[in-house]
Amino acid sequence: MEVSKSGNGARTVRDGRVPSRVGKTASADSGGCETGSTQADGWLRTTPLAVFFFLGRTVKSLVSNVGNLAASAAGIAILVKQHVLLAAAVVALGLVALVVAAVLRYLFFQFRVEEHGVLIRQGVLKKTQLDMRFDRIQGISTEQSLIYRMLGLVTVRFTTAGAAGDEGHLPAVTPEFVTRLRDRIDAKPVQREQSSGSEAETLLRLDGGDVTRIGLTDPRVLQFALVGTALTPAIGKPFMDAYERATDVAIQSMAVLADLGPLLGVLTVAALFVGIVLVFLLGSVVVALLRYHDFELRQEGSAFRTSSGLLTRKDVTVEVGKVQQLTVRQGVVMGWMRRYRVQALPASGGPAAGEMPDAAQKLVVPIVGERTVERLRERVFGSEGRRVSVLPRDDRFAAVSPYAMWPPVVWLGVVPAIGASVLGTTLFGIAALSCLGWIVLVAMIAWQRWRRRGYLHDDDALVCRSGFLGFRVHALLFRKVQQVSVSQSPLQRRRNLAALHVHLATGSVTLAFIEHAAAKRLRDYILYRAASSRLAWH
Amino acid sequence: MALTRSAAESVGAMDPTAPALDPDAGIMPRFLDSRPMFVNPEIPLDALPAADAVEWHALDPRFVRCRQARNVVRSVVLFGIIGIAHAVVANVAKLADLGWLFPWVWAFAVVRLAWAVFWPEVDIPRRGYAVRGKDILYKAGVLWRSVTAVPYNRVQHAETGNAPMDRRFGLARLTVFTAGTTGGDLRVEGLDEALAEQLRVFVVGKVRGEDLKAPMVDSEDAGIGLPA
Repeated sequence: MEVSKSGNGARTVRDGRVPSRVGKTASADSGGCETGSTQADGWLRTTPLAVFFFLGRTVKSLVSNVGNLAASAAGIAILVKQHVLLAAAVVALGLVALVVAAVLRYLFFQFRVEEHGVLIRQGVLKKTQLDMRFDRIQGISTEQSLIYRMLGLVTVRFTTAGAAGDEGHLPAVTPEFVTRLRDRIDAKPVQREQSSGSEAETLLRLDGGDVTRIGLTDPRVLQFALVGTALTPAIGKPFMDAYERATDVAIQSMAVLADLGPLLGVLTVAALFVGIVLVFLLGSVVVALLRYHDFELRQEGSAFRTSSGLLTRKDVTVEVGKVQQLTVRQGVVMGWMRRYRVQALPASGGPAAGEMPDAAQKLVVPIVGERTVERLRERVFGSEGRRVSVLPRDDRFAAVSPYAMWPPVVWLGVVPAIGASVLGTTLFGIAALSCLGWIVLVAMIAWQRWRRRGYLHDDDALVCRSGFLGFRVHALLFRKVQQVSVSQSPLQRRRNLAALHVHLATGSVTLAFIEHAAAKRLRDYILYRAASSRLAWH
Repeated sequence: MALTRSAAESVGAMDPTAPALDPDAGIMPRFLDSRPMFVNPEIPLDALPAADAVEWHALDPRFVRCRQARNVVRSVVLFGIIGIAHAVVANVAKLADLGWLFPWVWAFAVVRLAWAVFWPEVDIPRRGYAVRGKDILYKAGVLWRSVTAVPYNRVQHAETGNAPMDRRFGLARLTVFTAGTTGGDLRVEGLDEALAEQLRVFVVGKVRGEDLKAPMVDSEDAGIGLPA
């Protein structure tokens, strides 16, 4: 039997055979799982409705593989050419196979709640057993799709510490079971930091206006609108033709409009563009509504909990002490509204292998005002980091050296521009010197980015700010740092500057172009705080 | 600037009763563990043990030869591939147009070989590591230089290993893993095999030592067996 340690979150036992007698010592406490049918040796199955979950996952894994999708599409196309009925039969067979696979996966999916953790055993051909200890589970999130919601069931997802690990899922269990599981995880005998209150408290609730604002401020709208503008002539062509035909009719019927013809053409194009933007905005608002309808942020003891969603309810729990990094973002449109988006990243891996990345593990507060941002920081950092601010416009942020503009201007601006000019003048004549204008553009971008960069720290916390049009602020506690490095490029060495890289369990934060002495002092201080901290970092 | 101001303040707010910093082995003062509720003594940043002040250990001198040997082997393989390709192009009439490419390819391969022999002489003497009481340090880089530090109480596990060429020279690498995947882990290549093993045992022992006092270090991942 091969015991592979995947990441550091969970231990997986892989075996060719079913580990038949593992559950002998069994049922010290079966966790009160009335949700499923109990087997003789304490292993449980979830409710049969979990078949939907497995069906969804099978389909998802098929669809996410472009090769699979292309191959099956091509195959069906070929079959359709042969005979339509044949193609239909193959498709039907494929669907049946999917359902059978899902049912099999359900039948082979068993779990058990033990004294120390949860065991999940799954796999039809390749058996895997996932052993998640309660003290390793960073949090449990639940998800409730529309079908499950009507039936009063939820899907549990365990988040464990560490990198690319097997993450556990428990599909289709009752909410009561989840509550009990949550109590169990909270009750584990691990020393925790003091939380400010033990009773549940609602910190934030978003109403319809806020949700609309989330949709309107989504930066993707702007990006799509730009792409849409670029494509407007292409999309607009059939519309314009139709318009011309229509105006021909109109001109014949109403002579007045004849004078306005060209103006109407311009208006139509403008209306078309506005229409595209509006469609994107509407879509974005709908997406925001689906995701964040009835959003609620609660503090329950030492954990934050959010729940939101219109059709599929999502519930994310994150232990305060496990938060490694606090990220505050503000896009351009959000800046106009003076609103922020806050994320708290707990110690945990990225998405599990073979799964789409999603936001299940991290705590996302999609839209908050300034005061709430600071309140959230106080809640997350507790008594630490009192003297920093995570608001990007705080005037205490110290700027980094203006030399930060040099590398992008030289490597992305001057070098390509001169290269293009030299090449261009030999090929197209002197007009190609206009390529040098690129340098000005790059310099302006670099200047704007440099202006946004800044940092701020007190005895406990470091805050880094960056951005181009909007702002991005990362805040972290020194004592949660995993490793620190100070690096110097040749330019930085000449100017006595350095970059400080701070690695956390959730990623790294780089503070480039600060004074070398300052970087070294900060590094030594961070090492001191990390090495002398008696509190858990996760 | 926030940094200099903070440093100045902290010098002023220095608690006179705090024990002096132990200059050797990077042992940190303990008063923060039992600090009273409303006193938050600050450490003057200049008084912290500086990571620069440590004595760096060079890598094993055999490592330069080891790297050169490995690079030469790789180059020989490359030469072989180019030679075969050249022979094919020279003998197949249809591919005769590609003939002009080969002087350049050979020139590139020769320059690459020269670089692969020359560069370790420059690069490897500039790498070094240091083992302190609370953390392990690694420095590297000729033009772009960096110094990385990992505190022992953040170490998840440590590993030694060696590639075939390393084994011929009796060398090994030590890798120290921390939580999270980005940025990589601290990796010291070119250590004597026995020394690498000693270092690994030392690091794991340090993690275990921390573990007894502070139960939140993940003992199982540090490779020490089951926690209580």
